[in-house]
Order: sequence, then C-alpha cells, then structure tokens
Amino acid sequence: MRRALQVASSLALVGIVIPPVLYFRGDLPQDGMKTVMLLATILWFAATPFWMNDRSSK
Amino acid sequence: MTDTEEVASGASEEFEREPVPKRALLGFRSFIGMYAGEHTAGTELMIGFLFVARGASAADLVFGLLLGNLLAVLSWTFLTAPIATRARLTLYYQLERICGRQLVTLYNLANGVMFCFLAGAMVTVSATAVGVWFNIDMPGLNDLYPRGFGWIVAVLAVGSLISVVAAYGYQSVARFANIAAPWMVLVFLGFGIVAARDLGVTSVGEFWSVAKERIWVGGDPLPGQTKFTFWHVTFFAWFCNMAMHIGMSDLSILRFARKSWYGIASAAGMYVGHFMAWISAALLYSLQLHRDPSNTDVLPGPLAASALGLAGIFCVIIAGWTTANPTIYRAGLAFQAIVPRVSRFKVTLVTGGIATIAGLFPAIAMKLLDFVALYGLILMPMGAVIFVDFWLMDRLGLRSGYAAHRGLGFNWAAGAAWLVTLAACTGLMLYGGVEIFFVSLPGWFIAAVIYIVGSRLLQKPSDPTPVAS
Repeated sequence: MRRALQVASSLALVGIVIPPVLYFRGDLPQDGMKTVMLLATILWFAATPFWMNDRSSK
Repeated sequence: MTDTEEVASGASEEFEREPVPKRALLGFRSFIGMYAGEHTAGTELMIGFLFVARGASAADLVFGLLLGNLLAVLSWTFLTAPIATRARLTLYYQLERICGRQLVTLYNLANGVMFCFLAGAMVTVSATAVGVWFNIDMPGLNDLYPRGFGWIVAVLAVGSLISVVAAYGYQSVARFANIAAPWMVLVFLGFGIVAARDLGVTSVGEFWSVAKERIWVGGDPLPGQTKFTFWHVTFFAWFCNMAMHIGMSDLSILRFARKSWYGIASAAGMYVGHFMAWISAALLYSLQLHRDPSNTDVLPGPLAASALGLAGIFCVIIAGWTTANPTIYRAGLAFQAIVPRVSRFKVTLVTGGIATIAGLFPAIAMKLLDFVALYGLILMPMGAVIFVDFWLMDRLGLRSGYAAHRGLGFNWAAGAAWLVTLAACTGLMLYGGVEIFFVSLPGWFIAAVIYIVGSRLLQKPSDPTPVAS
C-alpha cells in the first residue's frame, strides 16, 4: 500500500512538472495544463500525507 | 520523522537549556530538506514581484542573486554553524548567558513584534488569493491603508483562521507544510515556465535575450519605488535572512548538525527559494506589466490564477498560510517568554490578532523588501555580540558569558552594542545617505567594537581572568 501511495505521489509531481513544460513547447493548451495540474495537486494531497506521516511516525 | 520535523521538534522541545547530546545529532539530509522547505514560502512571491517594480536589470538580478545567495550560504557555514556545533545551545539560552534575562526579554519583544509584521504580510498574500474568488477590490502597489470593506473582511477571515489554527494545532500545520513543500517548489517552477512562454520565450536559448528586453529591462523603477542595482540585489539576497545567519537565530537549528559544514545545506533554500522562486515570481509580474503597463498591482493571487489556475491559487494560499502559521507561533513563543503566566494558546491567539491587523495594511507586504532588511538590521547586533563573545573574549582576556558568570539580569555591554548600533545605523541612514539594504554591514562591526569596549569597561578586575585559548 505504502509503495502504491508513493507511486501516486511521484505521478502527481510529474503531473505538476510536465504540463507547464508541454505548454512551453506549445504541445498543450493552457486550459488543459491548468486542469492536469489541478488533478495532480489533488492526487498529491490525497496520497502523500499517508506515506509521509507514516515515515514520520518511525 | 520528516526532515523539518526532526530539526524543529528537537529545537523547540528538547535540550533548551543544555547542549544537544551526541545521540540527538542529525545528518546532512535533514538540513537540506529543512532549508529548501523553509525558504520556498509565501514571501518569495512578493519579493520576486518587487524586484521588477524596483527596476532591476536582468544581469543585476541574476548575478546579484547568485552572489548574494552565495554570501548568505557562506555566512551560515562560517559564522553560524561553527558556533552552533561547538556550543550546541539555543540562541536564547546562549544570549541569556551573555546578556542576562532582562535583556533577552527585550530581544524577545523585538523579535516577536517583527514576526507579527512578517506574518501580517503573509496574511495579506493569502488574502489576495481569496480575493480572486470573491472579486474583491484589492490594494495597489503604493497603497498604505486597507482598501474597501471586502478587503477587510477577506483579511480578517484569513487572519482569524490562521491564528486559530496556530493556537490549536501548530504541529499538524507544520506536518502539512512538510507535505506541501515538494509540490509547492514545483508549482513555483511552473509559474516561471508558463510566464516565460507567455512573455514570448519559445526556447531555453532565447530566455536571456527576452529577459533583457521584456522582463528585467532595468531603467527607472515604478512610481513610488526606489531603484535596485546589482549591489541592492546582492545585499538584499545576502541580508534578507540576516536574522538567521549573521543574527544567529539558526544556532537553535544548526546545533543539531553533526558537522559544522552542514551549514552549506542552506544552499538548498537559497538557490531553490531565493533564486528559482524569486525569478519565477518576477516572471509572473513582468508578464502582467507586459500585458498592461498601467497595471502595477502586486497581487500574487490573481497572477497565480492567470498562470496556473486553481493549482496556482492553492499554492498562494498554502504558501502564505504555511509561512504565517509558524511565524505567528514563534512570535507567540517570544511573547510568552515575557508573560509566562498566560497560556501559550491565549498568547498565540492575541499574536495572531496583531498579525491580522497588520495584514489589513498592505504597506507591509508592498514594502516587504524594506521590512525584511529592517528585520535583519534589528536582530543583527546580537549576532555580532554572540560572535565576539564566543571567539574573541577569551583571546582579549575578557570573560565570555558574563551575565551568567556574574548573575546579571542586564549586561550593559551587550545592551549598548544592540541599542547604540541601531541608533548609529539609523543615523547613517538618515544623515549619511546609506540605504537600509547596506547599513547592516558597517552595523555588524559597530556592534562588535561596542561590545568589546563595553565589556572592557563593565568587567571588574576582580573577575578571574580566563586563560587565552
């Protein structure tokens, strides 16, 4: 479970980094970029507290 | 524990009046994480904007930031960390031994007041993001007073929420700040990439030419702002955290470091937060000016919303909140040391109330560059006192930790070093034409000399003379 959450968090970070780069290259419209970044933000805050807090309890 | 929690919990809850024992020391990675997180905050958005408003040119900004941040890292590494890892005491305990309890109380008061205003600026930043949703009339670059009922309600709502959370659940917000930090750093990067694209940069190679022509064009600052040159940028980057390195606040943090070279971990905060994030914020503001030169409003919320949508707005709210929360908490601790009978909860609530009232006035956020310089200046002399007391007193045949040695409540040598230095720096600014961004450099030497001379006058011949080491 922990591994799955970490993968989700990593994907979320990719979802924050890549859309602006694609927009910069002209491969993604601004609205699409904003939507993907919002979804990635939700994913980050949904997944990360569980494994990060888990680590902090050790 | 996460990196920041490891450092913060140790610093705030344990070993407050004793050296940190070997078993509690922390590795290098802990400090990398802490510095990167702490220095990518809500303030960065305002500072990046204000560099543009002050007319800094591209070369002045980039090279000034590179040099200034390097000087800041060197200050942490060669001034703060060596003392921190030898004495392994908190700033407050070390100061109490040198200055006496009454003088430390005064220092706490000054520290607490400055924290309140800093937190107020962060409340202002968060309120600009809330204002986007409710279409509130928001303050302009040169506004000093609250503008309109909507703005007052937005600030009171945000400030009250932050204050209550700080009073009830500091630890949970500190944990949340840790979780948000990696996401926030990348959103800041996103601000820069998107703004660069909208400014007409289509490849990395083009960035520099566009930066010189459209982003940091130099020339006159915006009306009401003073001009920033290479030296302004350099000294600002060096001294904006002066309270922490030269002022020695981070003794409390770096005393947990195994080695003194761990001070170099501050580079993570400087080059992520005070380089990348400032440049990204500056790009956002340049984009606004590029689109509408008459729109000089310095409002992170609307700018972030236009660049990255809701993710950008969340970033501004979270950045402001996670900065204001620990700041209010620290201010509360500083005030509580003065009134120890009142509960921390009540003190933090009142402190949050003061910060919220400060946040109503946009002058603090809009003049953040000057305020941050003032903050460093006010706390800097005590850093000079600690430096001299630790390294030079024995060599000069004087006693270090004199207040503890004599049981003094107020060490006049340290008090004079603090207050006379502030008076001298004020004189240099008012009558010598030295700007606030530079005055702390001569100020440090003034404080050091006054402390040595004052100690020579204060310390009695009957005091046992220490053996020079």
